[in-house]
Amino acid sequence: MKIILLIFLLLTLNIFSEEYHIDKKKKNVVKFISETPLEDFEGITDKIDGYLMGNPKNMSEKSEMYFEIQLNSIKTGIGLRDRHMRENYLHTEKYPITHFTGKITDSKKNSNGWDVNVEGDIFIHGVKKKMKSKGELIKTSEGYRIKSNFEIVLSDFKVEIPSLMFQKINENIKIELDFYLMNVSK
Amino acid sequence: MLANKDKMKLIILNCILVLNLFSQSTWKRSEPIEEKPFTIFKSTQAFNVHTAEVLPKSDLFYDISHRFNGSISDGYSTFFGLDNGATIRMSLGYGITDNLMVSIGRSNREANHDIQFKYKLYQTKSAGLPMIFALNLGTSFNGRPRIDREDDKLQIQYFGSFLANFELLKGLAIGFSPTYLHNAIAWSDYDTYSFVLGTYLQYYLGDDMTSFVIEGMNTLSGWRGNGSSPFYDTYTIGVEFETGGHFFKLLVSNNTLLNQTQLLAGSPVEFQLKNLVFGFQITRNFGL
Repeated sequence: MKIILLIFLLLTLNIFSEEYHIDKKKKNVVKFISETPLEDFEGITDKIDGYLMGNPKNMSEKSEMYFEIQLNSIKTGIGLRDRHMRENYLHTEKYPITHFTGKITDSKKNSNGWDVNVEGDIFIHGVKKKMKSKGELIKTSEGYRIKSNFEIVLSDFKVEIPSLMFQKINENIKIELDFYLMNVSK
Repeated sequence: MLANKDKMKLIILNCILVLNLFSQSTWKRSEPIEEKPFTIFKSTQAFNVHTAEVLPKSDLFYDISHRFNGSISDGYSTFFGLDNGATIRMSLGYGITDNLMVSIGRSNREANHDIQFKYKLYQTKSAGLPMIFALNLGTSFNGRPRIDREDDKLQIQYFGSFLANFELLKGLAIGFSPTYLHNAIAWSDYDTYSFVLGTYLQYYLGDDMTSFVIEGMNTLSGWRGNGSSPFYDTYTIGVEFETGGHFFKLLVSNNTLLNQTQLLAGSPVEFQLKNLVFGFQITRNFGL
């Protein structure tokens, strides 16, 4: 009977794991920022999708997440630059999405929600790389608002800027995520 | 030992637990993966003839073109024709929508001003052969007429082109541009027209940024010059470099004209080495 109780306990804990999907109706923003002394620009899109499964009592327990961004939807403000990005750097015909799979490794409750550390694999340009990042989960009525900033190095993902390009692009691209999750397990 | 009944319970619980542990997300991608918009030619113009590409919405471009008046065969004495002055055209273009662009231009030949609208009609690659069709319509007038004609309307020229582009192989593209030009020679004593077939073939090297272009403008009917001074078809060959925001085009041609309505009438000289002039074209794309 003790075993059964233990299993019950585990089961009950597990039942509290809830599922959150990206809320497409909200203002989700993904920014890719390149800063150089000559030219700064940012690529923006709202085409982020995916899910987070986690226990709202303890976010770092048995969490799982998957998020993807549609690269062909990124706009930098100049159509020709968008085309260079798609055709010459990111080769989006072959790799139209970039995605991240991972989990929350530790979480700390704060007055608005959670501060979390995330670890997982990021896929860009057909290259997979281990990544760690910090994030903020801000409690909303439907779920959470997620904010996270991190940097990627283009050469880590075999993204090369052709030598003929006059365009100035920083090797280190800052990525800013700000999106909304809604609880779908209720 | 557990009773059989308890064993059963345990197994069922275990099953639920295992199911729960491996519970999969119910998430599914809610919209299809956005495909890359396809292009065939990179630039909106081969050399003289337009491609079916238009500027993306709210992009601007500034274009400056030169055709030097001296022949490259004159050699070093005129620095391959560069000493003899040049025909210059400056132009400004704007993408009104992703399918419609407008451009205005001015050439120093007869101070010819032009305005053109290009509209992308249709594009598909469903048949396995990527193709894009567009329409380019324009008008121009001579600000500094070579001769005064009684009716000023005769200084105004109109043209319309149908543009058809095809990607034959990866990196190899061909375009056709049947064009009608009204009032082909604005200084002629009588009304003229030209029906011209523009054709261009462009081959992009592996990096997609360097390409070779060959272009012809063949008059199928209409103005062919006066008996004593015939007009000939225009041919242009050269290279194009794309450098992220710029197109640089270097070429040789038997035509020194630049505005569509002037070019379309043909050239007073044949495509022969002694008649070839050097020209270049620089386009700068930028956003507002």
